[in-house]
Amino acid sequence: MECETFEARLNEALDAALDPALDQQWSRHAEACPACRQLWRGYETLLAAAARLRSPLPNRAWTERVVEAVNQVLQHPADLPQPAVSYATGAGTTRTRSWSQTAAWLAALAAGLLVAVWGLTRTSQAPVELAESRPAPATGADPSAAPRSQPPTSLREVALLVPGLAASIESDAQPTATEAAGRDWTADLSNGLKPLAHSTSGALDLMLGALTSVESRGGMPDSY
Amino acid sequence: MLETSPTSAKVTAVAEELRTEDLRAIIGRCLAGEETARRELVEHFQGAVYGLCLRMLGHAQDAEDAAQETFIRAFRSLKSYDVQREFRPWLLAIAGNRCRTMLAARRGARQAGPLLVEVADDAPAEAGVRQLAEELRLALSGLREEYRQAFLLLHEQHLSYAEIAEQLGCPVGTVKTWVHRARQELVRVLRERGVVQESRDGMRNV
Repeated sequence: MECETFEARLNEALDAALDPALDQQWSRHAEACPACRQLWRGYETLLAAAARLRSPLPNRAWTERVVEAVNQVLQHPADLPQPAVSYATGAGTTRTRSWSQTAAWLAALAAGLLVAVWGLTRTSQAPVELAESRPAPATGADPSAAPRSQPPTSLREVALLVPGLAASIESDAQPTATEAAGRDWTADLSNGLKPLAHSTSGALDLMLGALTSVESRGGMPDSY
Repeated sequence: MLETSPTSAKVTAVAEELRTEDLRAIIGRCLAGEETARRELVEHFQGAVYGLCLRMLGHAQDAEDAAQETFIRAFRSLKSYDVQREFRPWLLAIAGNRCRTMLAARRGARQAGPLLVEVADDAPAEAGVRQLAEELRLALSGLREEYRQAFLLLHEQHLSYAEIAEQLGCPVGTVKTWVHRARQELVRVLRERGVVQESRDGMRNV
């Protein structure tokens, strides 16, 4: 065996990984070659020192802490997240997943979606309901019996669409003795719901102005 | 078997492999809920687990946390452990996963702590033995991290090349290269320090 081969196989010899035949050649060369023998003894010294290494250990308090933690976990397994995969194969993900937490998030998300859909559904149904309650457009020849084809433009007209309220409004439309002496509240209410063309500070003046104009006309406005 | 050092609160683990049937008996008792069995299992493998974590993380506090988490996860997964497999590699695989998770989380935010190297003190305290141990510790601290890690996992933690490769996430050939280069560098330093001698006597008798 040459010195070059001896050195190339050195680590295999240290790991006791040489096959028997090669091991014999290797040993004979080590005995015969001073330089290679010196090289070998240096490594032997190193490995002898390494063999005396002892794994550092934590203190006893750590051991007690670990045992206590293990006992607590096994008594209350629901308190900690379950591992995502089994370690039986020695391989696994480094991340664990809490199935209970995932289920809770999904439930909350589903509830939020249901609320959103419900809200949208109610909003979209409101104009449909009004449209359905609105009388069908007239197709016949009797104009006096035909229902309204135009959408309501005032609060009073909307209120007239409500069956029970229509009669009350009609009766209210007739001036009472008090109203004849004063103002018509339905007109005032209608006027008050018009979009304000003035600032809010003038809104009261606007309303009071409307009340005064009705009073000056002595009753119901001409629009009714 | 554990021995408590009279000078400190640290326990000294005497390397003693459990027979397969004894280990299975302990695991069976653990699964039955016996707390003393859990303690036995922890005390027997705490050296291997903590040592691996320490060599992978380079920080004693992190190693304690990772080792504790390893045992908790191991006991919680004990029901799914295949008794036909060796328990130690299975446990060390969990430890390696925990260490890699911590390494990924900190990404160099924490610097490695001082290199902890302990030598068996069960032999007579010869001056040469102590000096060699100290010289080895100094030489190890000067190695590249991957060389030192591979060397200690092999010679201190007694993992195989395949186990080291699995823990460090690299090929077996790479681990062998790291170990060989570590040896080469350590011998060179020890020779420069005059620790390694040519003669048959002296420092060779350790």
